[in-house]
Amino acid sequence: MTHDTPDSQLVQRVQAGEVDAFEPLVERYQKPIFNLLYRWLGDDDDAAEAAQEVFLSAFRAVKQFRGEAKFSTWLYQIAVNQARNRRKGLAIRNNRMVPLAADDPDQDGEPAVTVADPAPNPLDNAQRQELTEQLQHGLDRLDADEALMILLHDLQGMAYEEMATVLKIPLGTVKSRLHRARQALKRRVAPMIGIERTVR
Amino acid sequence: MNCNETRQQLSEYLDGHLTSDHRGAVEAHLGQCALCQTEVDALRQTIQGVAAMSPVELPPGFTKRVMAHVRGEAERPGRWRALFIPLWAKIPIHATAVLLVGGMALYLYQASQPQAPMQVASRPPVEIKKERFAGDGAQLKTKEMIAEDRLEPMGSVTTAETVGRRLDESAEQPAEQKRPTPSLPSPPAELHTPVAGFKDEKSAAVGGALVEQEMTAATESLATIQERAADRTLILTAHPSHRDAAQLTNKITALAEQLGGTPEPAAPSKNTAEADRLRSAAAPRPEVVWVMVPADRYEQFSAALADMGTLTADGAGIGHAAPPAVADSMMTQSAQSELQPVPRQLRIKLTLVLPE
Repeated sequence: MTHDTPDSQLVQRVQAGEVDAFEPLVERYQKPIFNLLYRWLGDDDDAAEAAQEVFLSAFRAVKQFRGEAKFSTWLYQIAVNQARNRRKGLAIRNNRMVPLAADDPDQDGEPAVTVADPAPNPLDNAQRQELTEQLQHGLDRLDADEALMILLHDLQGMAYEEMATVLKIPLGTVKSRLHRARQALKRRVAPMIGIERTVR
Repeated sequence: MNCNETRQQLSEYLDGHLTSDHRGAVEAHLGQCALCQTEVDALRQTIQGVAAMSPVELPPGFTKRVMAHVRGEAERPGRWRALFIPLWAKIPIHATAVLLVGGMALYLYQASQPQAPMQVASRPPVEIKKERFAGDGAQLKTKEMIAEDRLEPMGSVTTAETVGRRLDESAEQPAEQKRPTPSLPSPPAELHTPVAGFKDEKSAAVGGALVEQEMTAATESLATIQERAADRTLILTAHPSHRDAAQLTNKITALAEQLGGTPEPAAPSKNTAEADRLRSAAAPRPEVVWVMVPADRYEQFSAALADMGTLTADGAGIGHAAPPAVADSMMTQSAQSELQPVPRQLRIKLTLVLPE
């Protein structure tokens, strides 16, 4: 029942003091929030701590949430701010750990962060992991805001308008930044993933 | 539409955000330009690759941990509110704290300040001393006298003079208590000894040992200054042949004049008449004579005094028996500057103890 309940109703119940009503909200958004933070921060422990802090911050401030934007948009705002603050104090590792790297000698057991296996073919799965690793490598070397544009839109599927709200920038800026970020990532990953570099 | 214009719109083209007109223009260009077509393919692959990045799973128990913290947070508001005191209560509390801290700081500051001698010997300690003496000596100080002292405007005399006079008064009163007839309300003779200036005259009265026992640390520091004014403090226990104090005094002053010295210049104070009256009613007791004697004639002067009785140096006075020249050299420059003019003249305080 609670899984079908709209965010707004759950938020109202939480605002009314029903703490348990916050749990479906956590379950609903914990995965995308954690994935965003992981891809942006580059460390599963940091991402887990940051995600936990995002939900705690949201709970503390939920009474100030007036529903002017979607709850998810508001939650992403908190997540972006949280991650930005962490990034300031965090030296992003040059050699970040990519989960389930097939050839990673340190990954001898269950990884801290497991990856879902949607691909039925093990070969496809391996190729996908390799592609993921290459793209992550390219993202790590982008400017933080550029990487965020790509992660929000291309990974999370966020619309331009919502990105403008989350990032508090004009819609036109969203478009131009996203285009620049994609071009930058393409230039970085093209040689690695077999894309012929034809345009400079 | 050229290549640059096309490439600027490729991102929106791939996202499906172009209008049909723009989309048509882009597609028309891509159909003609192999480079731009390759470019759009590369960009599409990149975007699709990001979208296909393997999702990461949450750490086990993440939801439970978050909710545990959330529930803990929910139980905390009462404690949080306890930290926020209403403004109406906060302001007085803060103001009181500020006053307490400020008062403590002021107290510590004052307590840590070394007190200068002149400040220490200012009015309050002397007055306390007077009251104490008045209490001990019964009639030595009336309430009116104390009140008069308190009301005396500081501006009417210099601070040093005021301090010196007060010190003299307080110094002489204890001596009175040693007398065999304490019931007599006579002030000590020195109290009303005519003075020309306290530095030359009054300050010498501080020589008594009793003063040093009785005075507080504050008055002692001033007494030290005063003692410097008397170069010699002598006690002459007169032979039985010298029973008349006036005659003996005249003889001593004449002796000093013979040796080139002078009797201490003096002017009667306002209380002299009263002091004389009281003194006449008092039992025989020591008289004090002040004379100025050239330093190089001091030996002669003391030898002549020895003929009149037993001469002893008062240890509580200047406390030294060094030759005058040496005595002068022992004085600091500052002390000498305070005692001007005393170039080669010794100021001698001579206490006469007459036979009964």
